[in-house]
Amino acid sequence: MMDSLGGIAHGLSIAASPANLLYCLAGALLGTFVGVLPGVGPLLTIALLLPFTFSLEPTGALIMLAGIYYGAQYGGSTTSILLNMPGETSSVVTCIDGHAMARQGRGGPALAVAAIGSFVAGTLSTGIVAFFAPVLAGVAIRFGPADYFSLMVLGLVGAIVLAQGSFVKALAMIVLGLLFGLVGTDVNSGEQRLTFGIQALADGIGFVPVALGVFGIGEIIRILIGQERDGGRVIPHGSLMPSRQELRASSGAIARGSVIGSALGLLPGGGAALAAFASYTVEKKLARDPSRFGRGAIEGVAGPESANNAAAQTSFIPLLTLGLPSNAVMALMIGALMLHGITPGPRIMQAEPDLFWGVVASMWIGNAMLIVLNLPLVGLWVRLLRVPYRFLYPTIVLVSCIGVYGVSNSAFDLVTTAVFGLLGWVLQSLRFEPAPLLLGFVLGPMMEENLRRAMILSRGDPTVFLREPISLALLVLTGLLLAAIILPTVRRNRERVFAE
Amino acid sequence: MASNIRRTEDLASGLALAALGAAAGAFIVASYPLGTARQLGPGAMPALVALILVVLGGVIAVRGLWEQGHGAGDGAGLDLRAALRPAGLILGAILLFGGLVDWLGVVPASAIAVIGSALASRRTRKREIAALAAVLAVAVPALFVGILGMPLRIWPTLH
Repeated sequence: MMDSLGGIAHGLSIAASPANLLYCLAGALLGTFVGVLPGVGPLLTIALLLPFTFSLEPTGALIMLAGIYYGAQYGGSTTSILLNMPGETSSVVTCIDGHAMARQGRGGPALAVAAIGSFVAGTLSTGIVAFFAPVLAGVAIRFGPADYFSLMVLGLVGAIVLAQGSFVKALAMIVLGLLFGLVGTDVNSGEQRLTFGIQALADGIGFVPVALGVFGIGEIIRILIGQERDGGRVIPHGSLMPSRQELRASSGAIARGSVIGSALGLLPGGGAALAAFASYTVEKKLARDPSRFGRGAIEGVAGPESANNAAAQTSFIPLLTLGLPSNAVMALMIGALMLHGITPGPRIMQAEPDLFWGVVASMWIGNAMLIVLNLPLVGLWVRLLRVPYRFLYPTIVLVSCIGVYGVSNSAFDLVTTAVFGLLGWVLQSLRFEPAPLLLGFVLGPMMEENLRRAMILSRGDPTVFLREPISLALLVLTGLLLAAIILPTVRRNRERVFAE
Repeated sequence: MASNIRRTEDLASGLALAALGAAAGAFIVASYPLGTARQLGPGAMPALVALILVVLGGVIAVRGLWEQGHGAGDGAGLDLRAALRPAGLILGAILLFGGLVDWLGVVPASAIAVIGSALASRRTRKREIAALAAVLAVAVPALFVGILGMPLRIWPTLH
């Protein structure tokens, strides 16, 4: 407990340095700016802005990236409410009642409550990160290679249990990602694997080109082939101030949403989307008059928006303590850390206390900045919603090109970007979710390393994964998850959840 | 009808994944030592991954054969003819940027990339493309090179 308080105090002193405050502000604003643009979700926002952080030192870079992340989420809720266009799954729920409120001329209060809820949730979940992360890191530091391998298996399977679409296809995407992740020089033997003599692939396939290709370029091709939708009609949001009655109605929902979100964000695969769905369901169940939901119930905005922000922040816990990304956004964060030469895992807290606590504290500062700056800026964000797609996408292409080239100075990485752009479009057209591919891609080398170490330590006995108690427990959990997916009742429930 | 298309798609994509896995697996086993159980070689993990890919691709293909499609798809599908113009122009723009940036410098390469990708949309007017190229080719490099200090060459250097 004292550790956490001391840590936060230390973190605040790091995060409040002028440079880091600036990165935090820049990240939150840039994240909102790009996240508000129609058709640009948090994943693409982070991938696009990742090269911007490349010249910073790691702490500043991660502070800025975290700011971009919650800024992008904030931007997503703005488009959901005013335009009925969710940037990503976690704000799909916000559309339901948020847009209904906007149509009734109550868009302003919906935006305000979403921002207030996000801030309250952010405050609570920052506390939870500060308190739980050291505990979890303390446990994780005792993990052996076999335990780590099993943990990653669990993390990968867990991350797709709640994904939309076919489970087998998501699993196949993970495995394809693992294969791509293994391209390059093998650290143990020095052998160049699957590089086909291309020297530029000796260090492996670039992370930024893969992320931008699959999530940026592939998506652009998909949109250009289909119906190009322009900004659409933005509904005037009216006065921002919620009435006293609206505030009272949302306070309970904000509190519940924060707790639900903080808890679900910890789970692999949990993350923001699940939290928002869960919170909406809870609010609807608790409401005296559930029929209001879908017709502009403010609780239906306050709860899910708090929950997704809380979950977004607690999902940093598995990342920073175990090195395990629970969703594709966190996989991008791992990629960013590794670009800066930092291996995520339980040692981060001791080896890089400035980084860890600075980032945790900056989350809270960033949320405070968002509420102060963004509500008055809503008019500006709304104007961005009107940018036609035909101006937007060439900008995305150009920023991707310069970003990719700037990070590596390698023309070959642009070939990689194009190839993965094509792949991203093909996969999406055939209804393969590309997000799990990125998870596998990031985890591939780490899984291999731990597999090899475990086999060396066990003298070639593969049953080590079942004999080590932690590893066994993790694998049993994985098995239960897989069984749950395959059992028909759960599958039906899962479909129902997404149908709602 | 739609479900039929979807089933064929699943069958084909499953088979493609399985084939990719098989090809990669065969290549890996032929090229890199698998090592021993105690000392896994550089081929071991890739071969394992390729094997799993074959199995999963097979499952997807078989399910595509047997399972009823879940209603109509969202009309996506792999429409290669419709993709030719947007995909060709966008990917071409990226490749051109990569080929030219070192030689021409970042501002001219940016203008070319913007013009190429802007042509991919049927809606864009010619005058808009010129304006967009002019603005972006200056603004974006200014941001990256000027403010963020990326070490990129701005203009072509004369030898």
